[in-house]
Amino acid sequence: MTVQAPANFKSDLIELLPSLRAFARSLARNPAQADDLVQDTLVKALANVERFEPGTNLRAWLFTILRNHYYSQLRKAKREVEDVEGRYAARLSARPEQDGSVDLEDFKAAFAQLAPDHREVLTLVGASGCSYEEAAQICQCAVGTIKSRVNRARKKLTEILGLEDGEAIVPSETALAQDAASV
Amino acid sequence: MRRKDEMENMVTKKSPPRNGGGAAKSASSANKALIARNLRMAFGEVTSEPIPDEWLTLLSKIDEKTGGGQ
Repeated sequence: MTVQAPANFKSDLIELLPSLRAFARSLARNPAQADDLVQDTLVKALANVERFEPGTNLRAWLFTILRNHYYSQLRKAKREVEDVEGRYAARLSARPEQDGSVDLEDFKAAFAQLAPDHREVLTLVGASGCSYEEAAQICQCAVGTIKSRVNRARKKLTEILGLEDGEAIVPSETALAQDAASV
Repeated sequence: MRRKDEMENMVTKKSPPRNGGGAAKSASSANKALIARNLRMAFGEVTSEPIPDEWLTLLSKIDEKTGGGQ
């Protein structure tokens, strides 16, 4: 059985798969869960292909489906309780280097400690090349909200990585409490 | 008044008020650049992974309309 789709839909979609996967990876707890998210997103995209308006932003459409699916799963499973514990465990491994640079693995460990809304905006704006407007469309919020989230997410990352500009490193209990409060 | 604020900050370990530290409040440009660089590296790692055949099989069900729509 085939699914009728607009011209270039399939090729455009295939081109977007790597960044869709990276977006999923920033939300999910592990690569397998991220790939499941992408797979589910593709199934949903095919089932709802007639709702996609040709000429509109396919990336935003796909990312929104994935994001909605992620959050609805999260609400069902209430996995965030585990997430906070996981973030605490990962926090201990992050150490800034002497020269102010960080190891990529430490960066990823620090990134994983951020709340989901911070992880997603950093990935969308900082890595995927989304504009603030496109990120706002995907996250279904105001452009100003995206901007302030990006700022807070960056600030938090510098704290976790111990890269603050002349400020004392936030004690980990405090950071953990803030993490817990933000979820 | 100011001192009371500072005391509260010390007690509750909150970040200083928004205008308190000037540049220290948001990430410095060096830290922003560091974050951007690492984000792109982490992103690049994922996007360079081979796409699972399963996904392509799924997408092979798509029958694209040809030409200018309809």
